[in-house]
Order: sequence, then structure tokens, then C-alpha cells
Amino acid sequence: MKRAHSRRWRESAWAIVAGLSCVLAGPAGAQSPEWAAIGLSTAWQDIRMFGYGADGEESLDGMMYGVEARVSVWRVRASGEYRQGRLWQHHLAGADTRVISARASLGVQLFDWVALVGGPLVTRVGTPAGDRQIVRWRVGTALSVPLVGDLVEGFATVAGSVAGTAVEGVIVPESGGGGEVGLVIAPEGRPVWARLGYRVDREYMHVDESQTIETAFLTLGVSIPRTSRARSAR
Amino acid sequence: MTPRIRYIPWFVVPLLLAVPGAAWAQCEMDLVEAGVQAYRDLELDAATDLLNGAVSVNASSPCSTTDARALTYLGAAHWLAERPDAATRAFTQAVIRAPRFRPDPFEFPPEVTALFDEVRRSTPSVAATLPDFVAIGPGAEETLFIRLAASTDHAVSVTIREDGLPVQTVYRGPVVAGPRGTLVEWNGRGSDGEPVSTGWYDLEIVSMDDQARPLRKVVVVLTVESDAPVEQETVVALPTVDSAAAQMVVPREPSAWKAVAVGGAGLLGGALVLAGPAMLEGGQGTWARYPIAGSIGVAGIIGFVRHLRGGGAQTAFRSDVADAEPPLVEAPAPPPTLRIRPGYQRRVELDRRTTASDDLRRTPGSP
Repeated sequence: MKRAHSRRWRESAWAIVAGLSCVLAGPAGAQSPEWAAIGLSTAWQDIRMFGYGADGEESLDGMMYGVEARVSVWRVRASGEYRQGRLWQHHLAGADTRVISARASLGVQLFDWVALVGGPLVTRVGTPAGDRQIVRWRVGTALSVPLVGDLVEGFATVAGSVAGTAVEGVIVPESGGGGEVGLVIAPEGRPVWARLGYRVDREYMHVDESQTIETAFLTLGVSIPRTSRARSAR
Repeated sequence: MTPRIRYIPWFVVPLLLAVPGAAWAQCEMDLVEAGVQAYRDLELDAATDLLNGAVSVNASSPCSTTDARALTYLGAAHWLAERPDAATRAFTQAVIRAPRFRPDPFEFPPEVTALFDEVRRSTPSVAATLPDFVAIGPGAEETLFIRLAASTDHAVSVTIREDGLPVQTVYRGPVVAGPRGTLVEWNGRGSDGEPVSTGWYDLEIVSMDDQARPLRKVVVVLTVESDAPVEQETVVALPTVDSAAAQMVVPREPSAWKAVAVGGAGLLGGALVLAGPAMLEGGQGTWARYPIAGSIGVAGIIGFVRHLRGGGAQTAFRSDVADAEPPLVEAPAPPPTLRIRPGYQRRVELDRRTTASDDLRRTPGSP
């Protein structure tokens, strides 16, 4: 049994390495022109929890503020975002609660218009019973399409949750998924950009409990273009 | 009574022949001073004869006509002898040969110095001072400096000529009569920007009047030797690759299928934002999605129209250029070193029927 288990791990490891080789050996032209970017983000977030609370339903909405950042090296892009705010609770009288939403993602650009992305998504909501922290691991595909020349680019991401390990105090949904659609506006020759989008996430904690989060966000930021590589010889 | 002829010893004959030669040698050394002394003794006729004699001896003699001092005393003697035209001519020669010379106000009466000054102001003349040797090239001087001393403010043109043909116009403009003069420089190159080759060249300085008519010129012979550049290892410089330069702008051709694809993508994205929450459990959707859906839809419509009509330009990032090795550029060969030696100077009058040339000995110092 032990030997079969280790053989499956070795086979899985070789499969992952082979898959990554195919991905990374893809055609050139998928290198991003920017090296790094950072921006300030504001969002309207609407959270609805079903099968939770005394009424079996809870909804919160309000403004959240945070930052986004990303770094591109060759065809690998690492990104992260963090937002927090106080959302208004509709089913509890006159109470607002602190909500934190954070996400990290690692993507591999296959072509100019498609990338594989994956990473954790964390939501922390304050409740009368204490902070409720939900962690889910997402893997998906990100698509990008130039809509108005080099000025406006549309993007869409579809991702599904993969199984994770629950730890004390952290809820790991059994299943779920989500998607994101939006625009990136980046004037040519300028290091500024804007990202406008809408994201919806749906998680099923167990049969009777689920959660839907809708986020409409706007991020304004600056980017650092990829610099020239100077070579010299005598 | 019969005269008796006495025997003359043979060694006396050379002595008798040497007496006139001795008298002639005295002229070579003391004519100017004798003329000056005669002037001071108011022996004007003697002074005139002696100084005329000194002026008329050729340049190879120590009693050279190049002595502006002699000409000044000669002019003063003429003036005291009530011969103003002769005095003017003598002063003019003095100014031409030594533009910066001024008579001693304690030696001559004010009327003489005033006449000399008037002649100086009306006689544009220039003298050139050059170094004995200069090397122009890598690791050496960059230019040949020429200091021009003028008798009065006037316009000059300074030209480098080879076999009479102009090689380079060094300077064309005014020179001033001050003690520092005017400094011009030549970089050893011709009008094509390239260093001149080995040979003899004439540095010609022409003085002009108010109507830009040439009056006289000074010509300095320049001996130029061009040394071949030192052999050195070729330096190879690789230009930097700019990521911005790796982008290329390509024209956008009208394309119906691209228009449909872009328009469809935008409208689909907008529709997903609007309708997506309705497909979720309990999803009535937040109001904030409406402007986002509208923005995506409008962007898709704009993209549809642009691709349908074509025109304009779009940027494509050429990572193959950014990643490619840049071409090698060979560094240019260094210029040769020029060794320039100023030599013989001569003056030429240009506004007279008969050209009167006064050869000067090489005078690298102040005239």
C-alpha cells in the first residue's frame, strides 16, 4: 500500500513537471511589456450568506478600500489584492461589521490572450459569534481581448475551487467557483492604468450553507515598464 | 727733379682694399643709430640720408628695412624738414611692417605723434603671431592658435590655401587694435571636415577697408606633416536594446471577423455581468454591476466599429527584437595627428599697380 501510494505521488509529480514544461515551452510573444504594477482599489461588495444566522440568511454590503499589485517575470505573473471595509448588515439591527478580503494569484501566460491562474482567496467577516474566515483555493483560466486598440483590454476569469485542508478557525468550502469580467484601460506610453470589473464568488460550505459575494471594483494604478537590457563589450 | 717711386709692400694692398669694406660694414651695423643721432642733432638732411640708406638695404643685412623705428625717425625727419608727404609715406611703411608699434611721445613732438596716429588709423594692417610648432590630434592640442595684432580696427579674412586654392576659411570678421589683439584658431581640417594631408599650406590674412576691398595681406607658410593613426585594438560597441523600440506600429486593416469577435466579446461580457447573478442562488445582483456592464458593452461596440472601418495604427510588442542579440557596431578609426610648423612670412600690398613685397624674416615673437 505504501509503495503504491508513493508511486502515485511520483507519477503525479512527473505529470506536473511534464505539464509545466509544455506550458512554459509555449510560443514566444507572451511576455508582458510591464514589469510591475501597483494600484489603489475601491469596491462595492455585497455578501449574502444562506443557511447562516438566526434567520437563515444574512446580507452585508458596503464600500471597501485596498491595494492591488502584480509582478511579471518572463511569462509568470504574481498578483495580489487586499481590501477591507465596514459593511452594513441588513438582518441585524443597525450594525456594521468589518470585512477583509484578500487574494493571491500565480499565473502562467500561455499566449497573449490566455493564462492559467491559481491561488488562495480569503474572506474574513466579523459576526456576533466571532470572525468567520473562509479560505478557498482557486484554479482557473484568464482570458484577455483587446477591445479598443491598445487603450482598452477586456478580461474574463473563470475559476473553480479545489479541495483544501481545514484548520482550526478556518472554513474551507466543499465546492465553489467564481468568475470575473472587466476592462483594463492603459493609455499608450503612459505608466498609468485603470481596472474596472465585476466579480462573483459562490461557495458551498456544506449542504445547508452557502455564500455569494459580489464585488464591483475600480483600481487606479501605475506600472513600471520593462526596461532595456544594455550589453557592452570592448 | 725726378719723383722717386717708392716700393709698396704686398701686404699693404689687402689693407687698402679693406678700408672701403670696413666703411660698408659700419653702415650695416650703425646706419640706423647714426641716423637717429643725426635726427637728435637736428641734422635733418644727414638723418634723412642715413635712414633712407638703412631702409633701402635688403632684408638679409643687419640694417634691415624691417625696423619700424628707423621708419618712424625717417618720417619725423621729413616732417621737421617740412616734407609732410614723405613723412606720411614713411609712417605708412612703419605701420604696415609693425602694426602695434607706437612712437615714443617723449622722443617726438606732439605733431609727429599725431600724424603717426592719423596714419595708423587710416592704414589697416595686421601681424600674425603663431607658435613655433603644434601637434593636432588624439592626445595632443586640438587647434592651431593664431593671434592677430592690428594697427586699427578693421575686417580681415583668414584662409588656408594650398597651391593658391582655398582649403578652409578659418575666420572672416573684425580684428581689434587693442594690446591683446584677436585670437583665431584652425583645427587642421579642410572644408570637408577631414584632416588635411601632408604638404605646404599658406595661411593668408587679408586686411580689408570699409568697403571690403582687400588692401594687403600677410602670408605665413605652414609645413604640415600627417602622422598615420596609432594602430589599436578595434573597440566594438553594442547598442542598447530599448523595449520601447522593440514595439512596432502596424496599420489596422478593416476586418469584419475581428469586428464581430471584438463586438461580441464586449457585449457578451456586459451580458454576463448583468445576467450572471440571476443564475446564482438568491442572486438578485448588486446595483454596482450596471455601470460596469455598460462600460464593457460600450467598449465592445467601439471596438466593433474600429475594426469594421479600419485605419489608424496599433502597437505590437516584438519580444523577438527585445530578446535578439543587437548588431555589432565597429567604432570609428581615430583621426591622424597633424604636426604643423609655421615658417616664412611675407607681406604683399594688394592695392597698388606694382606689387611691393617686403620679405620679413621669420618672426614667431611679437613684431
